Amino acid sequence: MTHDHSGYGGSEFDIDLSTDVLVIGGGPAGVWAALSAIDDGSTVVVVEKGYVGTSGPFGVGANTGIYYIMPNDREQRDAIVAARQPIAFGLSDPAWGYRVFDQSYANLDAMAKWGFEWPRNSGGKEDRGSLRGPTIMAFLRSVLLKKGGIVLDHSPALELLKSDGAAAGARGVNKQTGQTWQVRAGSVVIATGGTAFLSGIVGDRTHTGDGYLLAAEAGADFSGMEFTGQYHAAPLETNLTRGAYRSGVGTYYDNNGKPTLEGRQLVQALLETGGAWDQLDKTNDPVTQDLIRKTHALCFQYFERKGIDPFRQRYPINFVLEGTMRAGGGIAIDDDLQTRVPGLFAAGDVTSREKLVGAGPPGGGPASAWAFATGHIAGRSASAFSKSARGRGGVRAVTGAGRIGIETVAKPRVTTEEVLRVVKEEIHPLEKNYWRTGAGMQRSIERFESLWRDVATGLGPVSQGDAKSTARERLKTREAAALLATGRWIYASANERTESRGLHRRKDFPDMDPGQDGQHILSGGLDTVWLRRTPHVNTLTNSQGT
Amino acid sequence: MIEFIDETSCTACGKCVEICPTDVFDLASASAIIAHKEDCTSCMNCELYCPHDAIYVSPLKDPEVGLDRSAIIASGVMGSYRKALHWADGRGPSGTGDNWALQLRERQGERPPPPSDKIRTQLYSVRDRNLIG
Ligand SMILES: Cc1cc2nc3c(=O)[nH]c(=O)nc-3n(C[C@H](O)[C@H](O)[C@H](O)COP(=O)(O)OP(=O)(O)OC[C@H]3O[C@@H](n4cnc5c(N)ncnc54)[C@H](O)[C@@H]3O)c2cc1C
Ligand code: SF4
Ligand code: SF4
Repeated sequence: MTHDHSGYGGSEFDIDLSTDVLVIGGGPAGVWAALSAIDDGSTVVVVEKGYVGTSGPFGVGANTGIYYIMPNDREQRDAIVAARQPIAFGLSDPAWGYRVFDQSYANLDAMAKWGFEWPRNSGGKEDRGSLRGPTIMAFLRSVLLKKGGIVLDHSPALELLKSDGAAAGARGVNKQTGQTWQVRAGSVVIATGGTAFLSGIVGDRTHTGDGYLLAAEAGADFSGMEFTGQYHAAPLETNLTRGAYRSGVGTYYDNNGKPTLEGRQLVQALLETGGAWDQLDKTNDPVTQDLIRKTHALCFQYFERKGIDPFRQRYPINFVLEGTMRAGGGIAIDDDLQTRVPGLFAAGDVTSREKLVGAGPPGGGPASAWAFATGHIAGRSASAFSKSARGRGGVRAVTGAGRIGIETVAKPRVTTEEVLRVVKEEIHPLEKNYWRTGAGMQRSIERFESLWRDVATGLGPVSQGDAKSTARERLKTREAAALLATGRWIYASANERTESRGLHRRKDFPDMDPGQDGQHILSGGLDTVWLRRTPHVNTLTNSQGT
Repeated sequence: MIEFIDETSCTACGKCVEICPTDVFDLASASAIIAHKEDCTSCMNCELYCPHDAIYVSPLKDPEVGLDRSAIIASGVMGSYRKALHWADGRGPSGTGDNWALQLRERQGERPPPPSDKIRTQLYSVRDRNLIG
């Protein structure tokens, strides 16, 4: 089913642009895609649901570690790529490791040339391994604008455009003005990030899986959606899931005061003793304490503003869902970052990161290296596509590819609140999604399927108010539909993988099954979810990788 | 979560309206107002960008009950986050602005990760080779 201009209250768009490359999502991956497409000679529009510079996990002012490896330090490069492989559980491509680390190194180098000031140690040497998100993003935003990129902030994409089977732009709204927009483009990069299913982790409100739904409606598929059982500890009152400030100095305790390790033991402590605690009790050195406080200024806002001394006091913590953020599953991509849809590229957290980290977690360095590197590569690929015969930006006849929650419905069969409630109930709890079981997932899947039938035909914006509230209503509808669709792909994939591996843990299959070594699970589909196993192959030749 | 705007400091410059990723603010004639508190994602960027230190974001995920505005303003905490990240003196947006993390590393240098953690050990052993210059 395709349609045109319906749901927008007429055939006119308040803003109607055409460009070579359209980038959807302005986090690090999107901004790097835009920069590399511009450097390749293309015109670029970036549409961002929030604000390029502040949105998402990267726009939060904690310190994000990024992997960067000197390209000429052979020994180190080999060691770091090799160290990663055991926790990728046979599903990564080492040549992709070299490629990602080399490219993100080049990006950091470019930033230095554009004038970014990196910190220096007491010997005057520069360190590029720790990024403060809002600072980096403010800098990259200014570079992007200087280079002539067009940025539409507060402008979520609601559906993709297609032309002759290829991606050809997108349509959406502006949340602040209620204006509608359309951008026709020679190619599209989706860089909308992951989703924590609105668990409330800091920065997650804009992250509702929109990109997955956009991509699926256009015909893209997913890989590794089962590698998404990602949770992280946070002070109970805050949902700030950042651990770097306690690295090497913190101790977790169960509710009875017994020290416990991070990860499975901590989950056990929460579920079995009813709570868990943290204290930074491994350092008595006031200088170290002061440096920790200053280095991790964001996390310390909590302690300082609430009068807690984390070095001397225990504070309660929780384990909160991060979902597909800091996880592996996402849109399946080839070596050019193209999805299965011609002209549709993807980068960063929204993609499957299995090529780099397999079934394991990408957090703590690889994830942002992946965002920087894949953003750059996707932008260049999209630029090339746009210049090719199939691209020819913006002059083709286009149709809207959006299917779910686009059209206004007279009598909704279900509300967005109801959809969000069910999705959260099935995806958030540790006992359903950290520890998965076949029986439990079957129940979640049945609930999702019956809800999906209502959503497919009876979820849509009920436009009544002014343009601005209509725009917000339309967005909320799409967000709810996207979260439900994402939950379906996750549990279908997780139910299919009858073993535990990396970020996929099953109570009923607690061990790794050698029979499922080297198998990826692909998924997709809207009305009916489909699954397919496919053997892992290293696609990059070593000469490309090193 | 966003708690309040100090109207006496706010000049209605509109910066918070521009940069808030979840469109929490609206601009009234004399000051910005919190129009969609429930959408706040606690990113603290409004505090970072407000040139007049007029915004207070609570570190808590839920609205704070019984929050004492005047005590908070009197405590001098307004703008402290912007100072900590060096946005108040203008260094922040074009660079990291400090080297606390490196000083911390130098101070803690003697403590390697447990050998069982192969990746951290690997990273630890090579990290100084990554310094440039
Ligand atoms: C708590 C936490 C800690 C982390 N720490 C680290 C770390 O230490 N090291 C590390 O390497 N990585 C870390 N990461 C991961 C890292 O932040 C991400 O890998 C990185 O931000 C991904 O970049 P991205 O551009 O792909 O996505 P994002 O940064 O998520 O950006 C996606 C953008 O798309 C926008 N968007 C969403 N939907 C739409 C739509 N419909 N239309 C238009 N725009 C849309 C969003 O508003 C957002 O701006 C961490 C992540 C989390 C959650
Ligand atoms: S940024 Fe600060 S001064 Fe400007 S409108 Fe917002 S609260 Fe007022
Ligand atoms: S903390 Fe972030 S989301 Fe909340 S009001 Fe401020 S800028 Fe907006």
